[in-house]
Amino acid sequence: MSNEKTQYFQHHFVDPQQQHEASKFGMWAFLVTEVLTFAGFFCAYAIFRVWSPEMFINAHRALDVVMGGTNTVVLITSSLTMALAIRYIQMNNNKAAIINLLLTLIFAGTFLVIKYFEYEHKFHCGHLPGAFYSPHISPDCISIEGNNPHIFFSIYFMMTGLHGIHVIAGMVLITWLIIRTTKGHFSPAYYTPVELVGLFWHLVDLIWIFLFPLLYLIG
Amino acid sequence: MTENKHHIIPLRVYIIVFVILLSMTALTVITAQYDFGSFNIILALMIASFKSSLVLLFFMHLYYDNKINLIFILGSVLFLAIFIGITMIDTNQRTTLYEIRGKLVDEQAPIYDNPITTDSDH
Repeated sequence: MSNEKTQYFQHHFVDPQQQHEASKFGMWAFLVTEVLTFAGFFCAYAIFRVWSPEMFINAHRALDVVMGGTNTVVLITSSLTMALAIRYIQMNNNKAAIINLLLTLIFAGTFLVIKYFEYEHKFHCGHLPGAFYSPHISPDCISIEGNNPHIFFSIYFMMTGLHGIHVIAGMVLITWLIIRTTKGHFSPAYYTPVELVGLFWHLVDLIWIFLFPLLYLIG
Repeated sequence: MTENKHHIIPLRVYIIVFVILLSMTALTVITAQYDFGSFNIILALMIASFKSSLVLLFFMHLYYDNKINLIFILGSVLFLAIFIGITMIDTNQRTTLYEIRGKLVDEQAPIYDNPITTDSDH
């Protein structure tokens, strides 16, 4: 035990418990900055939605609620598997933990694939941000009534894009966790990295919980 | 050393939270089909806040954790509310002070004309 302990326990902490609590507190501080990063986008969203409520309602019809809803379910499920992975490491069941981490990774990939098809359709229809907005009339593209829908798409692409970058970052981190779990680095006594990546992953889920109704379900 | 300090949450709790999250997702999609006027956005945000509270408390363990973490994240929500709230007061109340109304910067810019292309253009 003492040998195992020296692998992760750093001398400037009183005990491993304090080290764990300190790491977790640092992670929460980071998550606070993440919330405030997205706050800028939510604020921009609020300003433009108040100025042009009709435009938001008209432009949001170009989004696919089925795809967005599926992605919500996919992300919530991935949050569950992530939480279960931590639980299994706490119970010293590394095999079940790896399975759950792999499932989380697969759900994250599914999210991005669905997102890709959504983006691809927007590019096809020319429903793009700002100056790139060039609506293309064809049977599979809806025509958006009213003025200035490009503002909606600027906000849509910035918010979902930044969120997508977080999903990619989460996937990299989860892959790293799978490699370390396979090597047997984690045990019920030490699993701080798993818990911290878990917190990050749940935050990604949290942000999507707000993005989904705000972008896809206006009206 | 690790006994009791690292609380293991029963599987039942995770499953119940998961099922509630899925039902709330369904509920928010269903309620979006009906028009409650200005209550639409309030209802959608209430459901989203309820869902995120569940994620924070159970998936992110805040219910069992050191409460300093909970205070921290609630602090971020408070500042988010101040940020958006005061910006909204500003952008919506300018008309009572100035003649200039809060609006889009340049409504006449060429981009606002929405050039439309058709299949025959390609």
